[in-house]
Amino acid sequence: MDEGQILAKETLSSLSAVPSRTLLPSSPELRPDSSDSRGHGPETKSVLRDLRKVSIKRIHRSERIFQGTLLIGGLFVLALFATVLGVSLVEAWPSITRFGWSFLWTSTWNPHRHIFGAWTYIVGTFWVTGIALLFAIPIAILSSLFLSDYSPKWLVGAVSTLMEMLAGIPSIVFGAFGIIFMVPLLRDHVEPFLANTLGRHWDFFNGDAMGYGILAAGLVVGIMVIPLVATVTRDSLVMVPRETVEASYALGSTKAEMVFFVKLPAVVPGIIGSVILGFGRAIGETMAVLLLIGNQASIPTSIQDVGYTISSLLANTFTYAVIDPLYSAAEIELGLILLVISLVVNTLGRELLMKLMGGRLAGSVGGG
Amino acid sequence: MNFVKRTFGLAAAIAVVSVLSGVGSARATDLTISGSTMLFPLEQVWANAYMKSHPGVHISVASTGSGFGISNAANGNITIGASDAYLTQDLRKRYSSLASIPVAFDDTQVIYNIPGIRKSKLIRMDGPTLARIFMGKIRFWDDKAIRAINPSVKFPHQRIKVIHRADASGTTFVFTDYLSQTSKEWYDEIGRDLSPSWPVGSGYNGSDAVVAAVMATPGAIGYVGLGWINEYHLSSMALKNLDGYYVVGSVKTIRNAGKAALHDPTFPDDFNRSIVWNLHGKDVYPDSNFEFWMVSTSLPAATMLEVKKMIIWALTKGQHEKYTVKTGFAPLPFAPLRPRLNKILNRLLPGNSLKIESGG
Repeated sequence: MDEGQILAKETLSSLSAVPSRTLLPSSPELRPDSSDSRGHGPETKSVLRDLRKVSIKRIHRSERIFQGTLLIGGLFVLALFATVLGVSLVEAWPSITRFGWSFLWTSTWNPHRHIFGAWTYIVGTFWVTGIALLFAIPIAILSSLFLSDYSPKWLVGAVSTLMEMLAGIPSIVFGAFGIIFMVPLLRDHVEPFLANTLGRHWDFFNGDAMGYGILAAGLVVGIMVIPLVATVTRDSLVMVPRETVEASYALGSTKAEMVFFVKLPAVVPGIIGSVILGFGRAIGETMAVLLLIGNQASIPTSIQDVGYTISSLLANTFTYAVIDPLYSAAEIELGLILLVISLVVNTLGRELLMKLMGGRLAGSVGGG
Repeated sequence: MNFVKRTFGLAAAIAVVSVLSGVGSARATDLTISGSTMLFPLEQVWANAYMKSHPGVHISVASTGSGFGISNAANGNITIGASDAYLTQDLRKRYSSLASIPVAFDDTQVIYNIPGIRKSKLIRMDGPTLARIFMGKIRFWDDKAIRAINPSVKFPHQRIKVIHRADASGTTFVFTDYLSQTSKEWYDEIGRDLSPSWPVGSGYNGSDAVVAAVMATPGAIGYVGLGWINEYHLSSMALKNLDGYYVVGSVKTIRNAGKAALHDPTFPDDFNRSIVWNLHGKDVYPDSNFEFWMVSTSLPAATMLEVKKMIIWALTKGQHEKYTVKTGFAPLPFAPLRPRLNKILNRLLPGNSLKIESGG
C-alpha cells in the first residue's frame, strides 16, 4: 500500500514536470477553423504564428494567476498561525508580565484574589495524558502485531476500517460513552477492586469510588489514542523488509520468535514516534475529559482522584473569564502553554519519525 | 410553461417582499438578549410571545454566560445582558453605565443522595454546617454536626461526596452567597463567586450534569435551581433562615423571600445586593435570588424606548405563570417592587414609569 502511495506521488511529480502547454484546455483561437483550414497557404501559417504568440501570452498570464492564487493560500495559513499566536500573546501579556515564570509552578488559582498559577492544571493534563498512553500503547501494539502477522486476511480489512472510523468519531461521543459505561463500571467494580487489592499496600490506588476522575478521563482518551498509535505502528510493521523476516526463519526461529525478536525491535522508532503523536492528541483533548474528569482543581494523589486539565478549565470558565482582564489573560496564557507543548511534541514526533523511518512514513503522520 | 413561469415569478416576488419587510422590521427594532444560561429558557419563551404580540420587533436570544452578558451589555455589543448575579462593587466600578433590572426569581437548593434514607424524609441543614461540608471539613454523613440538626434521622457512616458546578454559573453565585452570609469561615477562605476555587469535590458542566452526578453517586451532595428540582422531582434540604426556621425552597417560599427583601428599608434601590440577606419571616427561603437584565444607560434613545417597552412587558404580562413557573422561575412580587423599579426605569429613560393594572 505504501509503495503504491509513493508511486502515485512520483507519477504526480512527473506529471507536473510536463510543460504546462500540453495541459491547457484548447482555447477558441487554437481550434482549427473549418473555413480557414481549407487552403494551406502562407497566410494560414502567419495566422497560426500569431495565434501561438497570443496563446503563449495567455499561458504566461494564467500561470501567474494560478501561482498567485496558490501564494494567497499558502500565505493565508502562515498569517493565520501568526495571528493566533500574536493575538494570544497580546491578550496574555498582562498575566505574563505579572506572574513571569512562576505562573508555571504556582498551584493556586484564585480569580477572586487575582492569584493565578498553572501547576494544578499542568499536572492534571499530564496525568490524563499519561494514563491514556499507558492504556493505549500496549493495546495498539498488540493489535497491530496481530493484524500484520496473525490475523486472517478478511479480518485485516475489517479491523483497519474500524480503526479509521474510530479515529473519526467526535470526542463528545466518547465522552458520553464514558459517562454511561466507563463511570458506572469504574465506580461499581474497578475502583472498589483496586482499593481492596493494590490499595491495601499503596495509598496510590485507594480512594472513594466515584467513577468520575483522572482514571475515567485517561481511559477514554486512551481509547481515542489507540487508532493513531496502531495505524502508525502497523504501517511501520508492513515496511520491515521481507529479507529480514526470511533470514530469521532461515536461522530457525519460530513465528513468535521472529515477531518478537526481529519485527518488534525493527519498529521501535515508529512506535516511539507514534506515541509522541498520540501524546499530542491526548494532551489537547477537551470535551471527553471535561465530562469525565470531575473538574476539581486539586493535584491528584491517587488514581481514583478527580482533577482538572488545561483544556477543560478553558472550556468551562473562559466565557466568564472575559469579565476580568487579568483573569482572561491568565486563561489565555494557559492556552499558550498548551499550544507550545503540543507544538513541540508534534514537531518532535514528526521529526523523529522522518529521521528514523527515512521519511517514508511522513504520509501517515498527520499530526495531532 | 407559462404556468411554470408565472408561479416561479410569483414565488420570487413573495420571497423578495418578505425579505424586504424582514429587513425593514429589523431596522425598526432589533433587540439582542444574551448572557445567563439560567435565564435563557424564560427569555426564549418571552421573546416568542413578545414578537407575536409586537409585530415589527425582532428579538434574538442567546445563552452565553452571565459574564459575557454583563461585559457586552456595557460596551454596547448587545442590547440586554442577562445575569444571575447582581453588580458587585467591583463590577459597578468597571461598568458604571449599567443599570440592573430584576426580571424574575430563582433560587438554589441543596440536593443529596444518602443511601438508606427515604426520599420523603426531610433533611435539615444550616449555613455553617453546609459550608464545612463544602470545604471538606465534615467528611461523613453521620458527623455529629449533621446529626445535631437532624435528631430524628439515622445517617449511615458514608463519605460525603461534594458535587459542584465546573462552569461559571449564577447558581453557584447564589449558593456561595448563602454560604458567605452564614459562615464566616467560608466568607474568609472562599467567598462568593460564579466560579470560586472549590477546596474539595468534583465539578460538572451544567445543572443537568450536577443532577445526574448526584443521582448516580452514593453519598453525594450538590446544588441546583428551582427549575431542576421541579423537572426531576428531586427532594431538597430545608435550609435554616435568619429567624431559625428550616424552609424548603418552592415558588411560594421564594416569593416570600422577595417580599421580605423589598420590605426591608435598607435594601438598595438599584438592586446591587443579593437578597440572601437579613430576611425575617417564617416561610422565607434563605437562598433565593433575582435574575437580572443589564442595560447600558448610554443606548441611543430610539433603542432605549424599545428596550423599555420590552422590559415593562416582561415585568407585567411576562410574569404570568405560564411563562415564569413553566420555565422554573417564580414570578416577581409586584406591589412592593414598583417604586424601586420606577426609579431604575427613570434612570434609563426619564419621564417613564411602570403602570401596573394588576399585581403579577
